This record gives sequence, C-alpha cells and structure tokens, in this order.
Amino acid sequence: MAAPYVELHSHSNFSFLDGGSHPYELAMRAAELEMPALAITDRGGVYGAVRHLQACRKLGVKPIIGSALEVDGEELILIARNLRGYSNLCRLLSHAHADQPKGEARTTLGKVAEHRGDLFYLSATDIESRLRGLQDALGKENVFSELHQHLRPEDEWVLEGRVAMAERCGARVVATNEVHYHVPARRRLHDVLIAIRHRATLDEAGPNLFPNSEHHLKGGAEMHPLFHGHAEALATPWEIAQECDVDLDFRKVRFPGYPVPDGETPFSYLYKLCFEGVRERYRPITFSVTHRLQHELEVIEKTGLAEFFLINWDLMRFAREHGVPGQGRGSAADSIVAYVLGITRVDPIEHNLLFERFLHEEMTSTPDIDVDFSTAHREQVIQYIYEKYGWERTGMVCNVVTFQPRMAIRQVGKALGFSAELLDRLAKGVDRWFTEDVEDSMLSSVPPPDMRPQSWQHFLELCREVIEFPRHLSIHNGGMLVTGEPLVDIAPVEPAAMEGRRVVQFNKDDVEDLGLIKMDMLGLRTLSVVAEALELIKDTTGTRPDLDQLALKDAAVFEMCSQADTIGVFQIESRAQMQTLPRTRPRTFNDLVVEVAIIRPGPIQGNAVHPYIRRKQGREPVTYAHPLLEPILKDTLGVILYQEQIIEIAMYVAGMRPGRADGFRRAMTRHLNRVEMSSLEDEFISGCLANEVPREVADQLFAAVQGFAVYGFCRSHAAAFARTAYETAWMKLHHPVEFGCGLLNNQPMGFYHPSVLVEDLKRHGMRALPVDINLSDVRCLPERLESGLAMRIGFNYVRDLGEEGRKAIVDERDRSGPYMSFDDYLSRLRGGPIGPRAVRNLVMVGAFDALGHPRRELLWGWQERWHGKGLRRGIDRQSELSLNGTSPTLPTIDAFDANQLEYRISDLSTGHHLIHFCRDRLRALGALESNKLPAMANNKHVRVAGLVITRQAPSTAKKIRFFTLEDEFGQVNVTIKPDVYDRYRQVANRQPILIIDGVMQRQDGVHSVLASHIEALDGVPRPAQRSHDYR
Amino acid sequence: MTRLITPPAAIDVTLGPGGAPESISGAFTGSIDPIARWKVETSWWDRPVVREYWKAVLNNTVLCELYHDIARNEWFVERVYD
Repeated sequence: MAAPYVELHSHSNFSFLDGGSHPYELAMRAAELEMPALAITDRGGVYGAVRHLQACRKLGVKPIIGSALEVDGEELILIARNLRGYSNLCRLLSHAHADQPKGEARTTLGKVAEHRGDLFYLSATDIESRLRGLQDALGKENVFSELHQHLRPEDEWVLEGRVAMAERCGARVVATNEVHYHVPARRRLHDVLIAIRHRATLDEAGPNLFPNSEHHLKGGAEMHPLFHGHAEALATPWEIAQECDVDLDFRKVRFPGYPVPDGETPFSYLYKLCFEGVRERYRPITFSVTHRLQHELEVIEKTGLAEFFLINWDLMRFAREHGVPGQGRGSAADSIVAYVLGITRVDPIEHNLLFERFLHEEMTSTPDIDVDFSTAHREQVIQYIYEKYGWERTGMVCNVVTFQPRMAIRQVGKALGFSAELLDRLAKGVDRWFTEDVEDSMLSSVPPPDMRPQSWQHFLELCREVIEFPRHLSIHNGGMLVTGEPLVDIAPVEPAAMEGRRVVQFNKDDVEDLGLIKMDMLGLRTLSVVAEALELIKDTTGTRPDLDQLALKDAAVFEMCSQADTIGVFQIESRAQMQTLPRTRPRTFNDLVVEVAIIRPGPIQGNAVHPYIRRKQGREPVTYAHPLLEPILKDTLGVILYQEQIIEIAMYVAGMRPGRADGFRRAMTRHLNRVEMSSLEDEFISGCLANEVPREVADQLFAAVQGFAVYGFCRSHAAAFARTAYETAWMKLHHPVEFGCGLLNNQPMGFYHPSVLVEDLKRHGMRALPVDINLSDVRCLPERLESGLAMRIGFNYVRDLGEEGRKAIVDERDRSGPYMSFDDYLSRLRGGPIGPRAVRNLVMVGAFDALGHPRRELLWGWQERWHGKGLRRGIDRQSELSLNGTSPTLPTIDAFDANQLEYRISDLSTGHHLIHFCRDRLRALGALESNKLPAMANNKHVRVAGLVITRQAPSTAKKIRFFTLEDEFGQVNVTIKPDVYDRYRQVANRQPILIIDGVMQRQDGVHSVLASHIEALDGVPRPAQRSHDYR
Repeated sequence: MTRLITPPAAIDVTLGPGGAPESISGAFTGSIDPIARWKVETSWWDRPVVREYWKAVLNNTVLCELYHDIARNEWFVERVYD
C-alpha cells in the first residue's frame, strides 16, 4: 500500500497576512482528507502551534511543529523532531527577530547551524551551491529538497530541474504544496491579505498574488497526478512525520525556583509565613481558620506549588514596601493561604468561598493568581520581576490583535479599490459591536449605484471571513511569563515595541494550556484613585482611613447603592448596573457580590438576571429544575450566577470528577468553535442522563451553562471586586470631593466622561471651581471654602498645557509667590515649556479672571509680549512695552461663551450644564427636565432631551440600544428598539444633543423612555464628542 | 518564433480518457499531444479569468498553446510556435 501523503509546509493565518485559514480549519480539512499528520510552519514563529496541536489531537491527526524562516534571503522550512529540536527552533527564531524591524525575522545559515540538532530542513532552492551549503552546515541526512507543482507554466521544468539537482547532491526530495489556505475558495481572502500586507489594491498587488488557487491543502488523490513519476517525493513527508514527536509539555520546567533562607524548604518557609500571616488577619484565630489553612497547605504540598505561592507573596511584599497599591483577584480569593499571605483582601471563611475552584489535587494546570496594581505604579512591579528572575527567564505574554469590523471594512475595501470616502462612511456607520453579521450592521449603507453587485457581494463576504483573523502581535496588558528554564527554550521571544520588553509568541490561553506560570499584573486605575483619595482625605481630615478595617456594614452606603447613586463607583456605575440596583436593593456585602457578578453577559444570556431579581423581590418562588441543584444554587435563589456553581453542577449533576469538572468549566469560558462546543455538550448531557436527570432538564442546564461561555464571574473574583466597590462607594458617600478629585486625576477610566463626574458632584451639592492661575495645582485638589470642601479643577484639565507646563506654573508660583498679572505670568514663564496655544487656552478658560482683566483684552497683542520683542529693543521690563495704538473695545464674554470655552478647553463645566443654555428652546418644544420624569405615570407619552453621555448596544440584548441623556438636573435612560434605531440611526449615532419622543416605562423604581422618534437639537455649537459608546 | 493569436481562435476539442485534449477542430484541426499544463485564475474581483492552459504538439508538427475557458466552457488556441 502506498504511503499516505502528509503536508509539511502549511501557513495558517498566524503567518500574519499570508495565511487564509485558521489552524483548526486546516486540521479539520486534514482529517477530512484522512491525512494522518499535518505540519504548521508559519512565517517567523510558532504563534499558532498550540492551537494546531490541540485541534489536531482532537481530530486524530498527528501535529507536526515547525516554522518558515528567511535564511540568507531564501525561505527555509524547519521541522522539529522532538522537544530539543523545538527548543533549538525557538532559540533560532528569537535570534532571527532580535535585530529586525518589528514583526520581521531573518537570519543566516551560520546562525541556523549554531542551533542545529533534532530539526529537519526543507529547501525549495534551485541553486546547487546553496543546497550543498545547507547540507554541509546542517547534515546531509537532515536536509531535503522541496518540490512544488502549483500548475504554473514553469513548474514542470523547475520540478525536473530540482529533482536532477537533488540527485547530483545526494539529497532526498520531498513534495509539499506550500499551503496558504485550507480550501480553494479561501484563495480570495488570501489575495486580499497579501494586498493589505503590501498596502495596495488587488490590481496593484498583481505580481505578489498567486496566479491560481492551487495553494490549498491537498490530499494524496490530488497530489499523486501532479507528481507523477516522483513517488518517493510523496512518501518522504510521512517518513519525516513519523520521526517527529513534540508534545510541548513544560510542566516540569515551569518554576524559576524561589530562594529560601538556609535550613528551609520552599514548603516549610511557606508554612512559616502562613502562620505569621494568620495572626495578622484573624483575631481570634478560630478552629475553622486553622482547619482550613491546614487543608489548603496539604493540597499545596501535594501539588508541589509552594514556590508558586512564594513568588506571589514576594511580589505583594515588594508592592507593599514600595507603596504600590495592589490586590489579588480572581479565584485566588478562594484561598485562605492567599489571604493570610496578603495576596488577596477577601476573607474566604467569612464569605463562604470554595477553595476547590482555585486549587485541587487533580489540577494539572497552574492556578491563576491575577493581581491588580495601581496603573501609575505597575511598571515598577514589572521591572522588579525582570530584575529578580532575570531577563532570560521573563517575558510578556503576547496578545494577537485581530481584525474587527471597522478595520475589516477599511482594509478589505481598500484592497478591492473602493474609494476612501466610501470606506470612511461605511466604517463610521457600522455598529462595531456586531461582529456576527457585518452586512446587517451596514444596513443603512447602500453601495454606490455604479458599483457592480458582485463587488459589493465580494466585499461583504470577505469582511465576514476576515473578522477575528490575526492581524499582528502586541503585548498582553499584564501577563508575564516566569520560567525555570530559559524562556527561549520554551517559546520564541521577540522584542516588543516598548523598549526593554520582550514578548513571547504565545498568548494567555496557550500559556495556560502549556502548564506555564503566568503572572497577570493588570493596571487598575481605580486603585490609583483609591490611593490618591486616601492621601487627600488625610490632608483634609488629618487621618488616613484604613480600608482594611472598614466594617463593610454601613447601611447608608447600601442605601446609596440601592438608589443607583453610583456614578464613579467601581463595578456598579454602568447603565445596566444602575438599572438593576433599585430592583435588587443590596443590603449586605454578599448582596453586593451578587450585584457585581450578575450584570455580565453570562448571567444575562443564561437568562439568569431577571429570575434572580424576581426571586429576590419575592415575586417568584424559588424553584430548582432538579433536586440535585438545590444545595448548589441555594445561595443564589436557584439561579446560576457563579463559575463555582458550574463546577458543582458538572460534578454533582453531570457526574464529572473534580478535575474534569474544572476542566469543563474552563473550556466553557474560552472562545470555542462549533466542533469543540458540541463535544462538550455530548459529554455533559450523557453525564446527566447517567444520573437520571431528564433530557429536557439536561438540555436546559447546558444552555444556561453555555451562557457563561466568556465572561461568567467566579464568586471569589466578584467578592474581591465587591470589596473595592464597597470602598469606593464609601468614599463617594463620606468624602465625595476627595474621591471626585481622585477620579478626575486618573482619567481615562471608568464608565463616564469627566464632565459627567463633575455634573454628578454638582448635583450632590458640591462645588467645582474653575481653573485659576493662582489657586489651581497640577491636578484637581480639594479646596476649603466657608461652605465646605469644593473641587478646584487642576491644570491637568487645560488642553495643550502638558505635564511640564503644569509643573512649571506651580513651581514658579511656589518659588516666587502668586502671579500678580497676566504680564507678570508671561515674564516669569517666558522661555519655559508652555506654548502659545496653552497660554491662549489658560486665558480663555478664565485662569486669569480673578486678576481683573477681560479675557479678550488680555490676548490683544500678547504674543509680542510673550516672545519678548520688547527686550530685543533694549527695554528691560516688559510692562514698559507699549503697542502701536490702543486695544479696541472688544465684546465681553458672556456666560454661554464661557461655558463653551470651558467645555472646549477643559472638556467639562464648573458652571452651568450645556443644556441650561438650551432650556428655553427645549421648554418651548415640550421637553421635560430629567427630574420631572419620576413623577410621570407608566405608559405616558413624554418628550425628553439632553446631551448623549452613553450609547450601548449589548450583544445579548437582541439589537436593542440603550442611550443615556444628561441635562442640568440629572440623567434619562432611553431604550431604542431596532426598527426605531434603523430609522434614526445617523442622527442617533452622530448628534450630541437629542430630543426624543417616547413612552414612559416604570418598573420597581427604575424608569426609562421607550423611544419612538429621535431628532437633533440644531443650532447649538457642538461640544467635543464625549459619549461613551460600547457593547 | 512565437505568434500570439489575437483574438484567440475558437476551436472544438475532444478530450481523452484522462481529461486531457486529444484532438481539435475549427480554426485549427488535428491530433493533439499535450506536453504541459497550467492553470490561471485571476481578477476574480473584477472580470474573472479562469483558464486551464495546455502546451501541445498539433499534428506532430506544430507547437501551440490552447486554453479552456472554464467559466464559459469554451476552448481557444492562443499561441503558435512557428
């Protein structure tokens, strides 16, 4: 029987912009062709290797790992024989990227020879001296002459020539199809990607495109006729494949080793630290505490993870010693060891958290400890890791940036030769949230009348295909890899755009699958806000609150949350949260944990939010689909809300072992393709049936669990976040000015634009004071007035001033006293880092108003004074400079002008809301003020108006949009159904001030307007777009 | 010397058992002995060209290139080597 044909040269879409198929598509096609093995050989890397490995294994295809690399100007295919060969490949790829422009890799034969060993090499060269050179450097038995037949005119004689050359050199021949897509139909997308890579249209890219569609994955039946007379070349790939065995299991080499004091082992040292920590955290130390601690330490000892905890303990210790605010989150909060080591801040005993969600004896992957650090300080922590473990053993995890709708539209359209103007219109009009159907989201976009229908059809199909395709590599926000062996033996490492940073070619999912240690250190601006606010509270009150000692029981805090007065509060300030809080009315910390967990796509898609609320309000009985569910879902009134509950359902209802149940839970939280999801469903359903759970209940349960596919929260994670939510709510209630300053000084962050935060402060009776040259600081600070504390807007809210400019103003003032006049300011700061535009902005935002001169007059001829022309004429003091003629009488700035200027220069208003100036017109049009809406009856027709501050189109809401309008009195929530939205899409999306007619909808203390008609308020100068638009 | 035939000359083709052309008639007539084959598929985004080309010896004497326009299922002689 003839040897099967296997493909050893294939590019997935991880050969960025040169591969037209996902790794799993290639694997599936190989399985359909009954190909026993398939190689992945992406350009310059192994980015898709883990996905390839997993897809092939599931389909019974043997995965081969390799790469295509440019060596002395020609492509060489390298195939790893085993883990050692793979390590050599990684080192070589790292070198090849080291001194090249970002995203490129090339090297020399000398370097390839330095890293030879357990690698096969395939070369499609036609130059005999080159083939001989490869053989001499790399070993004759390892080098193969690669034959192609892509039905190009010259292919037949090139092939024969190469065969003859190989024979002269004593080299074996191997046939490949240099695959760039899995099926011929994908060739079009490949052409488009090539055009994008060359920043050209398809017409212009002509010479770079393949002349036909023959670069698809072919099985033996297609390959044999093409290589008639060269049976050996078709059999050799299988011989090579049989010698390869790379499993990428790095579990044994994952820990970098933690240095412990003499006489201690990692575990004994951990034990000691835990019992020191327990005395800090628990007073008194109860039996349940010691019992739980003992149990966790036993599991840690059995799983060999003592060093993992020490590494994280050390990290948090460093953070504390250097004043870096930080806290652990995620499932680590399930662990009392993490709590007593100071890694997390949530007491797992008090909050009834499941340790097994975090760690159990059967766990084969490393548990996740994610840590949030203050954004301002995170870099310090990252540098500490690099220095402590060494540059060889540390690198950032990569993030693959993929095509999203707007990018797809622009780049695919450009390749097809569409005009820039058309693409701009299409891209801006698209709802960026709907990746499922690009055409649908471009519904209002009509192709130009002169465009052929076929072109438009190509465009739509190609946009759909390219969504989620890898585009290029970037760094994952906070994922760092720390390894026991040098990192370059485990994965290729590339220089990142940021100096001094190295990025690994694996993303966070790959890293987890390979059993490597990833430390997730995310920058959380809220922690910076909290740190700053605490310092400001110390300044204003003399005492710095200790948040660790907060009792988490302040009824006033819970009442504020129940009223949805939560703008600025971590995790519970979104529109969706504010619509739910008055209905769930959290009264305890645990209620807050639920609140943080439920407003997520997971529970909403799993149909969990509304039943929970109904049950909480006593409107619906608490029921369980099956008795087995009661102990699992009792705490959440019979509704699945937590990932821990999925584990328990998988164990106790579908009969899975703990390790498998956790694997099932993890698999459900990933982006799965259809094949993978269907396999999980079969496993779950058959487990349920074996437990005598009726089929319809099992189906229902699986659908509910499936809703957690991406974002379901784990209880401990929700608890950690709820803690920060409580703390920020507490600060907002008891120290609103200091907290408000913290928020404004750490933008961009959170849900709302700074102007909304200022309006909220004003509505609570606090004053915001405008920028003042003598009273403002580099940032917003509390200022004591007779009436109490107010927020003084800082120089950080003056456009074009810059950090150096802000500092210069304040430093000079500290040195030599307040500025006495505008000229005084000019003379003292001339030559400093403040440009003319910034000076003009300071004047026009009113920074000099308190010094008594009208703004426009100050600017008359100021530039001459600023540039010191007087001095060049030998005049010592600037105030002696006199201009030709006197300044004309200039119109004064009225309140509306000042308002507009403040919006333009500071992006906020310390005075009236913009809508205040439109109020007369709006009243004449019959628009209600927002504070009048609570009195309106359900179903009453109303007209509302305001500045759009958020636009939301959640993917779970069946294309319904939610807008929030703001006026001088408050906010209005508006719901827009698809048919209404389609009618008024352009106005709704683009105009800043809207007038909306609709019907009042009230339920459980929450109200909104269901829109029927939308128009813009014309004639008001546009403020800069400040709406938060999101999915 | 090679002569490009413009416009390409339409012919009828009889295929052999393997799917390769065996004989032609029309503008050119006689037996066909194929010696090379290639495929061209381009301009799918504009005016698609999908052709299978054959280099063949006509009547044992003349080398020529013919192609099968796959979309229209028509055959043409495009080039003759004099």
